[in-house]
Amino acid sequence: MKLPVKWLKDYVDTVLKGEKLAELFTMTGTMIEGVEHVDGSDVLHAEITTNRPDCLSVLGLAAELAALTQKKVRKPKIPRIPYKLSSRLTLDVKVQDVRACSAYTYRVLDGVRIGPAPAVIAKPLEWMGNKGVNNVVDITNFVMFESGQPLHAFDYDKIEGSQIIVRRARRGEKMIGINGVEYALDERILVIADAKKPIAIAGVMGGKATEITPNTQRVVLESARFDPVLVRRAARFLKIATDSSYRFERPIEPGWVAWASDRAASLMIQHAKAFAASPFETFGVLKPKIYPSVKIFKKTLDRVMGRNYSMLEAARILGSLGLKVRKISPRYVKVAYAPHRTDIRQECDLVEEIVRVDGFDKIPTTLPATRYTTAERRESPYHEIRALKSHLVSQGLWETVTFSMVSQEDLNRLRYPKNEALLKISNPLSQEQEVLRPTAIVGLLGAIRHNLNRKEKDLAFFEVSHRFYQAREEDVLTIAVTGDAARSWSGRQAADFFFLKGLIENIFKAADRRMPEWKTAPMWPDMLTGTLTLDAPTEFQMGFAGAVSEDVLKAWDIAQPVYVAEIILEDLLKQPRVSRRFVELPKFPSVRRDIAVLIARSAPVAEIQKTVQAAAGEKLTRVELFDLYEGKNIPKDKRSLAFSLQYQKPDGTFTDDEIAGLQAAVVESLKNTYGAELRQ
Amino acid sequence: MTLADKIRQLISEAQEKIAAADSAETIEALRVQFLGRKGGLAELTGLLGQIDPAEKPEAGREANRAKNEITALLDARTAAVKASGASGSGAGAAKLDLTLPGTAPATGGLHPITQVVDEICDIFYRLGFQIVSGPEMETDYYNFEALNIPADHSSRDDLATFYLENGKLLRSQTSTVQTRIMEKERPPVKVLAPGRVYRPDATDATHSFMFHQIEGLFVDEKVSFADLKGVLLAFAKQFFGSDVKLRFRPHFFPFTEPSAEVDVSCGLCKGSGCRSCGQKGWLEILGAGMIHPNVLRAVKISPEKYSGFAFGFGVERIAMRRWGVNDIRLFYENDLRFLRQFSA
Repeated sequence: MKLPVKWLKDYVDTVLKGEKLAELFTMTGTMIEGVEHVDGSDVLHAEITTNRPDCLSVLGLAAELAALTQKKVRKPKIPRIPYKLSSRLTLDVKVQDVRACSAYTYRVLDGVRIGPAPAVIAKPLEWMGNKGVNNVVDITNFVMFESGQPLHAFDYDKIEGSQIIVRRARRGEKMIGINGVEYALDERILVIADAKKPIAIAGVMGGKATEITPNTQRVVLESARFDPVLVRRAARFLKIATDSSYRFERPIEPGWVAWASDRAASLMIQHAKAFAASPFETFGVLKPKIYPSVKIFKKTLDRVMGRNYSMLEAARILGSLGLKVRKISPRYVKVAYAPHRTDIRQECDLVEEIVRVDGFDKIPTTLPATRYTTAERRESPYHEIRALKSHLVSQGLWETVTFSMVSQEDLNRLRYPKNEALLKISNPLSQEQEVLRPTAIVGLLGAIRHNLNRKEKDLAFFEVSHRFYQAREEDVLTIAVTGDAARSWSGRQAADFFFLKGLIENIFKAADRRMPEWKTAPMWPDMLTGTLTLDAPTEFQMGFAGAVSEDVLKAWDIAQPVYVAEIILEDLLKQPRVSRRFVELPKFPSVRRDIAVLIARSAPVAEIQKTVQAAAGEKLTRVELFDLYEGKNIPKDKRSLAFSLQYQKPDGTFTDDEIAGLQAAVVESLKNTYGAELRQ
Repeated sequence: MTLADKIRQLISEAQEKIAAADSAETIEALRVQFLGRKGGLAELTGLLGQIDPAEKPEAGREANRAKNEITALLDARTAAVKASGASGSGAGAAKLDLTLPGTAPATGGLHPITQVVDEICDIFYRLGFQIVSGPEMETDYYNFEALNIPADHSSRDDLATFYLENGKLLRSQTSTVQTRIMEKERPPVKVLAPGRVYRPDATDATHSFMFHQIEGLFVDEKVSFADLKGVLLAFAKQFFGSDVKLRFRPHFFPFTEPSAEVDVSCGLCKGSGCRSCGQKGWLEILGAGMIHPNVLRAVKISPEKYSGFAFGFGVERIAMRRWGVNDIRLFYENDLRFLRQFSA
């Protein structure tokens, strides 16, 4: 809302200049975003909050300034408007949708001389940035800015059938607005129609067909109240925002309907040689609804604001805002409901008025006493998740933030199972973001592709976010790695599946949680190949790790292998902590022996290790795979595995024979179970 | 000169030469010269059989000592040369280049949004706030109704909120957590809730349909606006610097009353007005206010007994200002060249 200071001074006296005035308004709740100088006046750009529709007018802001500076507002005096019974012009008005139009009024003005508006009207409009049209139209705009009540003027002789019908538009109806644009209407939109067609979109814009032209002689001056929601929606559907719709989108005090009509009529009589050819005709309710009085108690005010207030001062402030003070006592002040302040309905509304006028800077700055909570405190996962994040960072991973919404196309390219339930957005901004992602892999693949296209080949990303798998929202940790995990002049480590697997095992260690078993199980088999899942006690898997399938990579234009994992954080944190108990350090030295075997490729290492352990028993304290070789000099279906075994006895040292016996048992067992051969 | 004397002479010769050796090659050459099969010591010990038996024990002892001592000298010198990285004098001599990059695996980095969230959480955690979270898929009740937002409010339009086909919506503010926490817990409630929020705004350099907010909430007996000012000032001094000033401007939010927008004095011009703050001297950082009694009543907390304050930050805006990021979209692209700028 623009506020020309010179115009403002027509209604309230002030010595304050542009910047000072801006400061005063800003610090009392009317933010002034800027001050410009337009042809002889400072013009303030005020941001009016939605609870203060009364401030969408020069008179409203004058009242606000009067309250802040302890002055009085001068509301223009309107002379009585006589009309000639002999030349009475009438209209047949029907308000079909009374909920959408709670008040409709009009009066007809005859003998109008269309011409330019006089300076008293034109100048303020210029300050408002409003281009003048003619005296009649300019007067309606002038009164709208002055009072906050939008008005519309129709050419009486162009209204077909002398009928005004306030109704919903019919699907297929069209109207050309005064801006020359044709609008397709439907039943969501309230219109003012004549006998044949819509002649205005209620509260938004008038139509070309009935607009005031240089030849207009008789004018219908409309002043009405429309449902704020309907006006707002119509303006949005049709993509038009006008000074009128801006004001109608918020409730306007009914009292302005008649005042604005009277004011505009008297100005037209004065400046356009018009005379009233009808009485002021009204339909619907012009009287404001009245709500009960409101009390404000000193103890509430003092307690909520944290200082002592005088009730006398409180009453003075409320009175200055145009509220009728009914009672003042040391304990409370009671004020009557004021129709111009529909936002003041309960005690806290009065608290706000008092402190904003009095000033937030008069409230002390204190630190609250903190009581320890008596409620059983939930364990917030924030700190644990944060520790996991920094653990991952120290492992070389970069955290991403990717969008929670994805396109159906993204999921297709991911080969995401088509039969899984998805959460769809009914009003997406575009197809790019129409589905809530069932896995954050979508986002991470996007980040990988983005960086590969910029010549970054070694990528290790993680994200902690919500996924919406099977329509359930859950916090997940998602990881994607590709290229090299580490590379320097002294060597490199590939970011392959086993690097990813190790990362996840380390996460459980970092979280001090028991690592669940890995299971070889397919997970989204079209999307991922070679997956391991983390077994969970619930019907769902706690998480998985796998390689993105070649089909998917191709669909994403990614030319190198990518490995991904996703873990449900709630499940991870639900895993029992590792219980720890000190064990005496061994008093005798351990013995270390290596063993290398040629063994079928089909034998899983995890199983082989179990076999070794079972064969050697509890004296074998550690089994570690330290070498794996396939290829040259080895049969195609075999591989060479080398384990390092550590033996330990609590009560003594081993003899050579003992160790030889244990080693022989291991070899024997591997031979019997897998047909393994010992390599020398 | 006895043989023992000759051996002693050999030792001192070796001492001198080894001390002067400055490369692995020279040291190796000296090893051959003194201890090799045809070296100096071998030559002298070869004479043991030809000398006077009376001199033999002494010569034998000295030969042993020479072997041990020269070996130790060579080893020590080798280690010293290696450690110092001293260069050889000969052409093509190996050189340990200490300027080679370190080889410990490189660390990654936290996203700048997380860094801002964590820093803010740390400060409020020290002020006694617990860090909590809430769902992003919400109901009309938590996002609007319980927050005293009227049924016809424009923020409920499908131009202002994303709705889901299942009847739920994507939260448009982290204030949803207020009701969720207060339903479960009785005062004192003192929490901070960071998270993602969604609004169907057309994307440009300063708008994104997904962004991050942090909501703060404190409800107890006698919590006042003065406390709100104190807590936010304590935060601002830690986050922006101890010379910072705050300005509370009255504003309107449906779920707080009185409400305020809070500005922080511009860190560059200290309030006198510069380009960074649009000549205003102040930068808006958050919205705050005393919790509306209707919000407390909705969760069956008596506004006569309890009061509280709430406040909310936009994280991206703070991050953009802190680092001078000029386009909000960069936060969601995850370009490594961008991310690297926020980690050492």
